[in-house]
Amino acid sequence: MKAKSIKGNSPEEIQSGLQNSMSDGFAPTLAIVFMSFSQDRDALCALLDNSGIAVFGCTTNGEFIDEVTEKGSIAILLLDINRNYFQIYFEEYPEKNYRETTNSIAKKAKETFSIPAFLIAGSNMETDAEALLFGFEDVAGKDVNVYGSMAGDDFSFSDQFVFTNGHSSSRGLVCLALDEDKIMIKGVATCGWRAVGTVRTVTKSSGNHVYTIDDIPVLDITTKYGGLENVTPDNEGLLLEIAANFPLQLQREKGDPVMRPGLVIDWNDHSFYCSGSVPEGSKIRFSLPPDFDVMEKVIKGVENLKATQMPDADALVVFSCAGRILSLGPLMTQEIEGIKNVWNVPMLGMFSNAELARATGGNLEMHNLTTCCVALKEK
Amino acid sequence: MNQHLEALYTSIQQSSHLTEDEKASLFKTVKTVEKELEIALFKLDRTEKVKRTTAILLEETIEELEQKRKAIEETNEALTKSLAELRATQTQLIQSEKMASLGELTAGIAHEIQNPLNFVNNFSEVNAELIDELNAELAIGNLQQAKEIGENIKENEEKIIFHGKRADAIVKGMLQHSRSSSGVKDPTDINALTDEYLRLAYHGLRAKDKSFNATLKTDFDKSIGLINIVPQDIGRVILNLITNAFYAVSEKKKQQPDYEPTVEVMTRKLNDKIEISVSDKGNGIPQNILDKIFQPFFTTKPTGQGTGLGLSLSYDIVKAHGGELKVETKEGEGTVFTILLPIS
Repeated sequence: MKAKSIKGNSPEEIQSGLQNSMSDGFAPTLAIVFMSFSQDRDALCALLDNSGIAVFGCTTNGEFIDEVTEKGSIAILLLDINRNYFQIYFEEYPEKNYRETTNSIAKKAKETFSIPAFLIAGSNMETDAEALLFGFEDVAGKDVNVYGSMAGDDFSFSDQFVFTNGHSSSRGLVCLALDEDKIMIKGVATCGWRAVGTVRTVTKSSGNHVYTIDDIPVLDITTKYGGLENVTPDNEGLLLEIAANFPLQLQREKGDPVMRPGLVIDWNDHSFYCSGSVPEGSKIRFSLPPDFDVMEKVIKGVENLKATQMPDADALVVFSCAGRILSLGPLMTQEIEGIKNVWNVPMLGMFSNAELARATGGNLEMHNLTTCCVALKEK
Repeated sequence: MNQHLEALYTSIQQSSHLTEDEKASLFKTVKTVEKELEIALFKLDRTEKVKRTTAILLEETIEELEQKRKAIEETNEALTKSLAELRATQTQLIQSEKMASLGELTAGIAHEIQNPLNFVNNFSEVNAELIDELNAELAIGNLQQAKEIGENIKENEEKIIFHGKRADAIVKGMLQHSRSSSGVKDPTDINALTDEYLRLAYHGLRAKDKSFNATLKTDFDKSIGLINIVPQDIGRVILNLITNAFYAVSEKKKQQPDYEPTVEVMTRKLNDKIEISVSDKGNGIPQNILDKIFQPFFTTKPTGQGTGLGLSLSYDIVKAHGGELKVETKEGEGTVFTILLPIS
């Protein structure tokens, strides 16, 4: 399978890039598109459609094809994958029937491929992303390969979109099903955040709403650890600081911890809403603002994937949490460069609202502040 | 862009002395410096944040350590108190064990004292009659006869004194046994000590159970001489081993009426130590409890018949003498306990 990645600041630039890429006879059949929600999705889909290219796309908080990250642009990974080896499904879930939706997609995919793998992107911040994952597991089993992300919207947290040829939705799912008998797909989600302090207990929570930890309001204890001052509703930078640098680290019986940053503060009781569920009684640890080795850990995780499961790859797709841009600042490019150098194949990446994957030793879960790398190779 | 870099950038731009290539090269350098500066500032900011959190954690850790220190201090105090109580209880238990063994000896002691007392009484009565006879002979002036009677009285008196002293020694020994150990070692005749406790234990058991009978075999090495020990302590060990041996053979006798109960006590002088062994031909000790017999409160005797402290205390006493207490046993065939004591 041949792959090429292109980027541009408008559909016209993409048109030109596409033509260039095809000038050597390269005939892509599939485009994985990560783009700003400010760009014209319809025009882009139309031009790809005109070239007979299937589209798997979503909006982002930033996109990249190399170490130079962009915002407000379009980035595409073009693949000349055999049309019999993949299917694209597009579904909306206005009734919030997340699990049923992916359950149905997985059933359709199973009818076509004996072992399907899935690359997915979902839109809307209300989406229960873990329910989406469970829907795939219900049909394809616990070991099913599912990777993906929740779409972004250039940090506006208003409207995110997923799209394919002729369809676009701010409350839906685009799914690329691959035939694992023909296409090898392996991925890893790595966080690299360091935990500090003793293990604490979530003493009151409901879903993703966390009230207290060791009977102390979660906002108070988190800001205490962070040494954050001016903990008031007037402090506009406070939430960003908490979300980007002081996520709760949800401990697991096995596998790496899962990051659960606070996203919305309830000032009435100093509780906050996290990015994902934090069950009452679960154990958490606090985070130290990520050290510079955090990127090294992610790169090592990808190197380990190469060494143990995927010695060669044709293309690489990266879902990196938007929070990492805030946490890692100008160092973010070093992480992306390091990841790219592992296989040195065409790459496409996006900054997402959440990452959907299996962390080392863990189950399929929704992650935050994590980088999920997915390598593809035709067998 | 950093204002100083911006000023530099403008200067390069406005310079008329530089070629376009030189300007391009300098712009590239300025951009690189800008990027590196940005990263350095970011790292500095991050380091500050880490420092802040670390300082808070350190403060919390110090607080937790202080709380733990206090908790440890309180626990330590409680442990010290418990230890003192434990020691007091241990002393009481040791004393109880002594008194319990004394109880076992009582009948034997009574038997041992009765014999000399009988002699004392008999000879005293005989002497009273002889004195009457002496007075009668003196009244009739038969001095020769009176002199002979006087000789008889004197011989009897010597016997009375001998048996009186024997009783005195037994009572003193009993008192010494019940007294708290002084810990002072005295030159002691191990053979005599062993023999004495063997007889006391045997007669004690016989007094309690008339049907009990056993063959006692002794084989004492006379070359041992006197060795330095705390006699009442080692006496207790020997008594304990002999009492256990008697118990073992009597239990076997109950199961096998044809069985001949035999207990053998032997002493030997080895190079730099002496050996006292007590062997019985009882049922032996089952392997599954062999490693427990020296544990405090472990006993196979029915409730009320043993404190479970005898062997434990014996072990401690022998250890305190720098010696060893060993056991060899074979189920159904018997047991040999051996005390090894250094001569020096």
